[in-house]
Amino acid sequence: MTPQEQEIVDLLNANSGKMTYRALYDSVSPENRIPLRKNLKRLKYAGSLKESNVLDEATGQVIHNVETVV
Amino acid sequence: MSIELVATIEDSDGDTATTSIRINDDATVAGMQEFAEAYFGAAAVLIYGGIRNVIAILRPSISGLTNNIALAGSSIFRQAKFEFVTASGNRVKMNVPCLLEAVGQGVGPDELDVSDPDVSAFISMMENGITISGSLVQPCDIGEESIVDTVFAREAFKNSGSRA
Repeated sequence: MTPQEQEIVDLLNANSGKMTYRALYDSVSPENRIPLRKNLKRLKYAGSLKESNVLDEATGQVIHNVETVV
Repeated sequence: MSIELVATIEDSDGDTATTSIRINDDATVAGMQEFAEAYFGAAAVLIYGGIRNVIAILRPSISGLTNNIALAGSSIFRQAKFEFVTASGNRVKMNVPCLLEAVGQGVGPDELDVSDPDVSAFISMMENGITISGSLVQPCDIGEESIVDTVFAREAFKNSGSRA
């Protein structure tokens, strides 16, 4: 696992294993922002995490989540 | 949501034109079939040409969309071009017109910034679907196989095709 991937996993673990993508984007170090999606894809294919999109019926907005796979 | 029934009418020269009607989505599939036969049956006596086919299009309401305005300087010719892929390797191409200028600032000259939260949300929605009232709804290819990955996301310009 690369340091950038480890940073993502550490942030998720520090937040009960689940964050919105936007919060994750805002939390990673600046040099991890541009390759964030590429790193998420690697972790996704390694089976370490998954993404989900949930419609908030109250607001009509879709919440984009990233969470660790246990 | 409404259902639009579109009939293609052909004249004696072989030229075609369409006419359509919208009905509400209370109709069942069987009811829609019966309505189409009744409605276009009544319309058929008014026309000289022949009705060659009728298709039904589902028209979701867009009244709930927010920020649904054409911003100054927006152009349908500035597009986002996506190519997605299913688990079997089938490609699904998609163009999104009126691309927002700021979204195109990616790491390459014509790549979208796929890590941007708004772009990433769109791509994730295509790859992972949206959970609505506990049910997962996923974008798919023509064979109803779900999209699982993104091949590329680029910005592009397409001219109007109009001639002076």
